[in-house]
This record gives sequence, structure tokens and C-alpha cells, in this order.
Amino acid sequence: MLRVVLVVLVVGFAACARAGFHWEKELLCCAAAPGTGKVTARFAFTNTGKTAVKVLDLKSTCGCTVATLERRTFAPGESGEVVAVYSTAGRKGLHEAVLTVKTDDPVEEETRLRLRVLVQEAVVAQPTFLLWEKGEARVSKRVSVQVTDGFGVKGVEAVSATPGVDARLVGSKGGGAYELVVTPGTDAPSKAVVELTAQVPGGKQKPVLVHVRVR
Amino acid sequence: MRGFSREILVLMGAALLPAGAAAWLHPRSPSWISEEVRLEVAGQIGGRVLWVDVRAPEDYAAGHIPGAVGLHGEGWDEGLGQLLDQWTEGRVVVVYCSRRSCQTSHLVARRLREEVGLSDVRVLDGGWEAWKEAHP
Repeated sequence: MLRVVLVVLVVGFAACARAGFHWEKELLCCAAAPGTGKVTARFAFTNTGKTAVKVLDLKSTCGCTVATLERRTFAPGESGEVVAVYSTAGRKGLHEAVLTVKTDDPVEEETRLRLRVLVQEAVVAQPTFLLWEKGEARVSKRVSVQVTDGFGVKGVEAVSATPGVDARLVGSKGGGAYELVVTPGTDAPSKAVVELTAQVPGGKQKPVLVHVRVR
Repeated sequence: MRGFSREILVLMGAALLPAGAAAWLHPRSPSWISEEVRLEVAGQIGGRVLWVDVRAPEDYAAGHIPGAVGLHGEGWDEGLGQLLDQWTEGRVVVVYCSRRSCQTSHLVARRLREEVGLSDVRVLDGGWEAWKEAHP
């Protein structure tokens, strides 16, 4: 039994001695504030092995993330970092991008790095689609609008750029909760958009759109 | 040996009881119970399916399921507008991406259900690659 344990220990330590990249972290988490176009994360690593390691391929599973490496071959003891740039455009909530790093290290050929990004909006509306079917009475419909804490939102405004569609924001009694009341008139076009814009320190945020369809 | 066979039979019988109850209480369920839908099931739905492609714009431009609306990060508002132009109650939205990035399709599907309020949104099992394999 002792011999078996010794063999396992020797094999195990031998495998460790041949290990290539040691990653500081394989999972990074970021939060993106409203209006942030891109988020940059850096996955640092060191070649702790006894031989040089070459990065053969670096890919992201998501078109939202571009990953780069300044060079491909790292000698023993050398360090580097994979720089991942995540685009927040059009995204909301929690997202995860996976980066696959393939090397010529026979012990660990592939490593999957994960980047989690929480994209927050200053204002959240639900639902963002209002539909009046053909023949349906043109009564008002409501959208719940909630201001997200922590962004210093001073106010929210609702604008209907389409004549024939009325949009009113009913103020909250506290807690940053509003209601958007949308009413299509008899002359309303089939398609309209209501823009909800939050006023934050430094200006206005990109508006949240509520899509209106009247069939 | 005889005793062992008897034990096997007793165990099988015991397993059959709950299995039978489950089959009686929950007859064969459609694949819609899961968010993911296989290509052949989507094909049975036919014209009611609204395809949504959430791959990168250049991938969409290179080829997509006929009639699919492109819904990409940066073009979200425009793409959503096009999707809503076609959506009616009763249509089934099926979101797909590359098999390599299927997390995006699930996130977009959830967003279409929870934020936009569409009633029936699914994700294509196997993504774009499943379509390509079925339509070489």
C-alpha cells in the first residue's frame, strides 16, 4: 500500500513540475455603469514550467468580447496577460463570455477563462413592447419604470416622438418607481417609439425605448 | 442465485411502480417544456416560427436562416424593431447563435421574455451549426 501511495505522489509531483501557465484568476467579474461602452479585463498568468509554452489559439465564444495577447511564446518564469475587451452595447443584466486559450503545453493544452459582466441601466422599463391588435380598443397601457439605485438619477422623462401616440410618465411616491402610460389615438400610426431618458450627473443617458405597435 | 434473482425482480418491480405513476400523471411532454428546441421540432411549427440570429453582424451577413432577424448587441434597438414588426400572438420566437456561444442565445431569449414581454421564446438546440448540418 505504501508503495502505491509513493508512486502516486511521485507521478503527481512530476506532473506538477511540467505544468505550464499558472493563471492568477480564471474567472473575473466586472460591473459596467450606464453608458459604459466597453469593459476591459486582464487575465494574468506566469509560465511556471521548465519549458517554453506557445499559445496556439485564443478565441472568445462571444462576438461581444475581443481577446488579445501581446506575444505568443513565454519562456519559463515569464509572465503575460490576456486582455479581454467586452462591449456592453445593447446588453443588460449579467453576461458571461468564455475565452479559450490553447497552448502546446502537453499537461494542460486548453484553459477556459470566464469574464462575467453585470451591465446595469439607470432606468429599467418592463415591458418594452406594447401592442394593440386590430379591433382592440385604444385604451391606455402601462409600463413599469424603475430607477436603479446608485446612479444619482435626478429625474426621468418620457417623450413620444410620434404624433398620435400619447405618453405620460406618472411620478412615483418614492423609491424611484414610475408608470409610463401610453395611449394611441385614432390617428396613431402602426409603429411608434417612446423614449425614456434618465437624467444623471454629467448629462443624459442613452434612452430606453418602448416599442409601440398598433395593428 | 435464486435469492439474488428474486431480489433483482423485487427491485425492478419497485422501480416500475413510480415509473408507471409518472407516465400516467405526466404523459409524453412536448419539447417546449425546456427552453431549447430541436431543429426538427421547430420545422414542424413551420411558418409560425420567427427566427432570431444573435451572432456577430459579420457572421449574420455571411449567412443566416432564411428570414431570420439579426439581433446584435450594438444593433439591438433596430433589430428588435424589425422583430416586433413581424411578431404576432401565437408566433414562436426561436433564438440561435453559434454552438460555441450558446450562452448569448439564452440571455437574449430571457430578455425577450422578461423585458420585452414576448410570450413564447425558445433557443435552437445546436445553434447555427445544427441548421447548417441539416441544410448543407
